[in-house]
Amino acid sequence: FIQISALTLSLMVFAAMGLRLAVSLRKQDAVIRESQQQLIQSEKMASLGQMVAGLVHEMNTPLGFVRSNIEITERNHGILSDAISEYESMSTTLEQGDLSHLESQLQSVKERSEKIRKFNLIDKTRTLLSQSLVGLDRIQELILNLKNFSRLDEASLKPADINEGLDSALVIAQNMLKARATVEKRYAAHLVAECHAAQLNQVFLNLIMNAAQAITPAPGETGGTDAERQGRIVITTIAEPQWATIKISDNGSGIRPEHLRRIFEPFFTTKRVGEGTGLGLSIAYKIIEQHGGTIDVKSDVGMGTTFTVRIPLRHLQTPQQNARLSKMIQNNSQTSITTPSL
Amino acid sequence: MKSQPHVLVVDDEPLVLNTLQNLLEFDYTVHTAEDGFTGLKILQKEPVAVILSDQRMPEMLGHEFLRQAKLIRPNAIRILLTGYSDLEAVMNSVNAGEIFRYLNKPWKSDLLLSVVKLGVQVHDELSGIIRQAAWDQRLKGDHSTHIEVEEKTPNVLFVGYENSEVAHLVKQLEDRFAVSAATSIDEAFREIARKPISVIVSEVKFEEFDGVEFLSAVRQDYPHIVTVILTEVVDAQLAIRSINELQVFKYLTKPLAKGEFKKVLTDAALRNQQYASAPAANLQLTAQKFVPSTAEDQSDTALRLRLRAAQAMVAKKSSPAP
Repeated sequence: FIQISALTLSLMVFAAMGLRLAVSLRKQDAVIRESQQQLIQSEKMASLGQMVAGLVHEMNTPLGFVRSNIEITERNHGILSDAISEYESMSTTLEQGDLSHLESQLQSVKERSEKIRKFNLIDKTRTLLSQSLVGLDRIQELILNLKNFSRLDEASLKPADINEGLDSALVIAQNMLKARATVEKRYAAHLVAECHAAQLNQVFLNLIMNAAQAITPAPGETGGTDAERQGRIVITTIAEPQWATIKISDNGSGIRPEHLRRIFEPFFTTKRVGEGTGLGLSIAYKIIEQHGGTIDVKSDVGMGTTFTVRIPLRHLQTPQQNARLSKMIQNNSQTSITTPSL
Repeated sequence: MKSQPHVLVVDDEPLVLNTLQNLLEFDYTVHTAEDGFTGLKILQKEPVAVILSDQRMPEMLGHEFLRQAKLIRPNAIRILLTGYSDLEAVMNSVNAGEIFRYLNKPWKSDLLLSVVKLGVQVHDELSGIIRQAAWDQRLKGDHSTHIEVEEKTPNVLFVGYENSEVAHLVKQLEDRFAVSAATSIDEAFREIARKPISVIVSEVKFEEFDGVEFLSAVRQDYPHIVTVILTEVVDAQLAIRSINELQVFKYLTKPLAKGEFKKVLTDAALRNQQYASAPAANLQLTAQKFVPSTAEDQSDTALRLRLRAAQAMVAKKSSPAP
């Protein structure tokens, strides 16, 4: 009996311990999940930071010359109106038959028109104004691109042009690409897939940024400007009956085989502390997985890397996903009420 | 007609070139180039006084272009236009191209015009002095352009570092430099008042002031002291200020490569001697001739008062007892 009661007792103790363990594991799980969410959020903020940095640069250039053009136009306007008022005062005194100041007045008009002619101010001012419009168009285009990229004002799942998404990611990465690589686009015509465009664009931007970073250092930073070592990124899109395939290739440093196996792991990074969170590709993997697609990588050290993304043209949904989706769309429509449409 | 000073503008955006051409052409002969290589070719032919360059350009970045431009026309004043103050570019250019000023895009026309005007004045002063020096040398029959290194060991003052760190540096440097250290700004002021310092190596963070404010205050009274910033703080804004307000010699970030520091200090000491023998080579000093310092903010006044106090104290000590 003693043995039996001891056994029951120990069983009960075990059960209690097991229960406690289960509870604490669940708690731990919740904590981990929460911190993972926070990290994903921080990765989003980091890429947002990069994006803003790129856009600020792209906008500052047109903003710079448009602003200056207007200041110069103002200056030129002063010179032109000064000449006109000198001319007017001369013609007024002439009409009154007053010839006493004619010589000095004529001289003054001549001096002013001479400057206008010498610097061709009339034509140049017109050119400055039309170039300012070009600059404003460029700023407008960047903003449109940002809007296309983020798709904040649209329901999340809908047919979207893949090539357009790639282009908007390219514009945002342009600041980083410019000094490092030339981009070649080999797009299949009219490639439309049902997708979460904003998320997919995030994946494209991530892959393009990685490609640019693989082509380091940027020419000039080492003093080398060897044309043969010029970085190159090739973006290919292929239309298949059921699938859209996107290939992003670079001729950068490549990824070592022992790293290649791990690149989709969360927190795995070969970048220095502060340069990357190691979450970019794991998030990309997750996004593509949610689309029912695949993401693969091939790489040769010293030769370059190719990422291949495949997503189904039509989104296949499980009932679970459907429920989540309708909830997301609902949330989205709620926010679009409060935010003015762009 | 009086010949106008030549200005070279380099930017990969043609519309920016056109704008700057329009802005500058009343007063200057303007040359434009869409990339660094073309810019260097123009420099070989034209007597350019001021170079304005964009930083982000394909093929050759702005600071690399300016570094090479310096070899072709050492007297041309170099100004960098940066669209977005990105850290890497600024840190590269502070040390590589010896930039006179940074200007941010979008720029204000009148500010840009005044900086170019100042650049031309400094350039002319610099060229005039160098011509004069060459003339003097010819008169003396001295053809060496080599600047004699004085026999004296240069004094280097470290400000704001841990004792252990200074001790470590002293070991590397003691064969060539007389090293002293100060942990506070007041201590540094006393050292500076007490003996002729050639080079100050300074941290950037002090209790109430930053390194740029501290070094600027020193500069006012001791313009020939060459300043080096050595810190862990990588801050583009601070680096830009250290150029625009202080014309810092080098902005070094820790950790340093072996041997790098000694070389920088040797160059800095040489520069200090140049300043003493040809003050016009000191761009900051020359620029101050044309634009009287308008620094009248409170930190400046407060720092200068403390410097005066240190000077007075040292003077009292060293004067012989009655």
